[in-house]
Amino acid sequence: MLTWIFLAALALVLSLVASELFHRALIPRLIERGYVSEDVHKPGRPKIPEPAGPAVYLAFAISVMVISHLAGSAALEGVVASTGLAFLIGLLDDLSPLGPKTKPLLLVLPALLLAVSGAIVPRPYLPILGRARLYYTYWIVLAAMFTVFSNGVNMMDALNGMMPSSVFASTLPLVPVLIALGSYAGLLSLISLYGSLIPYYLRNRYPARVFGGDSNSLFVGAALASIASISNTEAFFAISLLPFMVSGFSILASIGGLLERRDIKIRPVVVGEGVIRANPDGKAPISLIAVLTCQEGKTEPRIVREVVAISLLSGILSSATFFLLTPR
Amino acid sequence: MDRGLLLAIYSVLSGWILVLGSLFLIKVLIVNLGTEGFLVALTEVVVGFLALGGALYLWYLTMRALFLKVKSSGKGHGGPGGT
Repeated sequence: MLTWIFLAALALVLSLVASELFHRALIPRLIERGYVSEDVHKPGRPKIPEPAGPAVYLAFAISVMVISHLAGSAALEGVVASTGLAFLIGLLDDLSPLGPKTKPLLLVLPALLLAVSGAIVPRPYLPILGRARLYYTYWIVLAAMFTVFSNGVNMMDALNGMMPSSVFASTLPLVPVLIALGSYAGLLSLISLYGSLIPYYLRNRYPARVFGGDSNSLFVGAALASIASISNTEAFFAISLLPFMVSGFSILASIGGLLERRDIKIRPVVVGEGVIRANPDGKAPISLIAVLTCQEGKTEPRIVREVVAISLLSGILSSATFFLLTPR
Repeated sequence: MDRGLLLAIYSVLSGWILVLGSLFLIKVLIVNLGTEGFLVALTEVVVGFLALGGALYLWYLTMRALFLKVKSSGKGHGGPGGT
């Protein structure tokens, strides 16, 4: 037990320090080379350096590889490889936008990489049912999970600090679940993810000084999918990420298919004088931000606080579902 | 608490109930059909997913109706577009 506590502390410190150093090195270079994007929700639309994804992913990968070497866990190597591929797909999208149908298809590849790495036993814990044996159908679910989680996280990366803070809030209640199952590989990966996201969150929270880009959001989504599958907690991660999926599914259903965010003609929300409101147009797509602002306009920090509260609620629901409604 | 936040909380709670409802349906199928054989197992998974898909679509229609109702009664104003 003491060894695992030491490894958890090491994973946190290593990922946090590496991410901080990479952010300090990367951000001035992004500005120097003109890699900036407009913050469309701010008056004057300030230009913000993007993408910070390489700083976050590299810190995560270094931490997980060191821990994998010390703990002798092959599952962690699979996590580094599959999240690395998702990161590269996101980086490709940051540099030259991929099509709205190509990106979800490409996101199946990290799932395949994790499957062939041998890191997965297709026996997920399911609420009400207990531990299932899904030797035939699991692989379809795995591929879908990578695409859904990555796109869900990508859709949540809409306001300053919203993605990292909602990832913390929705997954922190799952830490006791991973401990109860003895899934230390999953736990150490999750702690490395937290450590690498903290320096990013401090710079991305309102008012943002850096954006993560798709290289960051697709990597984070793939990391959550990888952690869920190596620990057999897919259903619990899916429940804890419900706000992410509510947003993703509502946008998909309301625009009637896959479209890039920039290609959606009628925007879900409108911005005026620092206040965000649901677009009054009846044909505007539904997003989580539009739902939160459908009665009254709200400021960006207030919307983020409400999303974090909803994410925490879904995380607690997920943890309670595991401890109260799952036969073990 | 405003109705936008209440609607968002409702969306999460109803999504959670849908997931549990679909798993309960699979449990009923397993109890009645057993777990022996590839076709039986596949049928159970497919029926479970179809039930979840159908329920998700109903969930979306309900959410949309509530969303439009609250939005039309709210204080909507114009301005530049965002996400």
